[in-house]
Amino acid sequence: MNTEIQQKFQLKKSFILFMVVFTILLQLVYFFGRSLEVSLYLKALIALLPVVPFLLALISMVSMIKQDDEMFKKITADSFILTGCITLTWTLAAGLLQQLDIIPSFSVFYVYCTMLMTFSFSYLFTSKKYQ
Amino acid sequence: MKNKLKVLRAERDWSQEVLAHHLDVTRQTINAIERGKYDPSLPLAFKLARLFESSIEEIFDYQEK
Repeated sequence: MNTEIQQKFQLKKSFILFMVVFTILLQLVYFFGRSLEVSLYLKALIALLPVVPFLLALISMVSMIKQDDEMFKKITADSFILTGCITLTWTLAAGLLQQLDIIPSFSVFYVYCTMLMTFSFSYLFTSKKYQ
Repeated sequence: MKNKLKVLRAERDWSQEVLAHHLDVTRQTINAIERGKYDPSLPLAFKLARLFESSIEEIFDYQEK
């Protein structure tokens, strides 16, 4: 049991660390990436830098979910389903509105940001159901 | 789903934390089961039944909606 707690703590620590690195890299790429005067390939590599720590954070998150008990696994699964449904609906609606030039086009990056926020709210909403 | 978990736990003078430890789940899960907010999986229901030396039917009362 103790090693399990230690493992969970270690996973949480690495998750937070990867998310901090991801946030820093994301800010740098988002605000300074466009002003870089380098070759297209190098620019693409720099643009994709935040993806690496995000992927590592996701791996840590999956490991954390694996160690959760059955109720928390269900909460996470329900939240993912809810997030997927909401994201599919609003991206379809926004896509159709964009197709007809009713709303302006926006970066796919905002879909990611909204998805993260939706997942947080979905998790809160779902976990409330079991309290 | 109604259940007698709280009564069985009280008979043994166990806290939710102690029961959670026995079943290798979190205290929140025990709390949710006791309040009828979460229905445990079959393996967890069997674990509970074995721990309290009774059958699943004696602990849980399934009523069709």
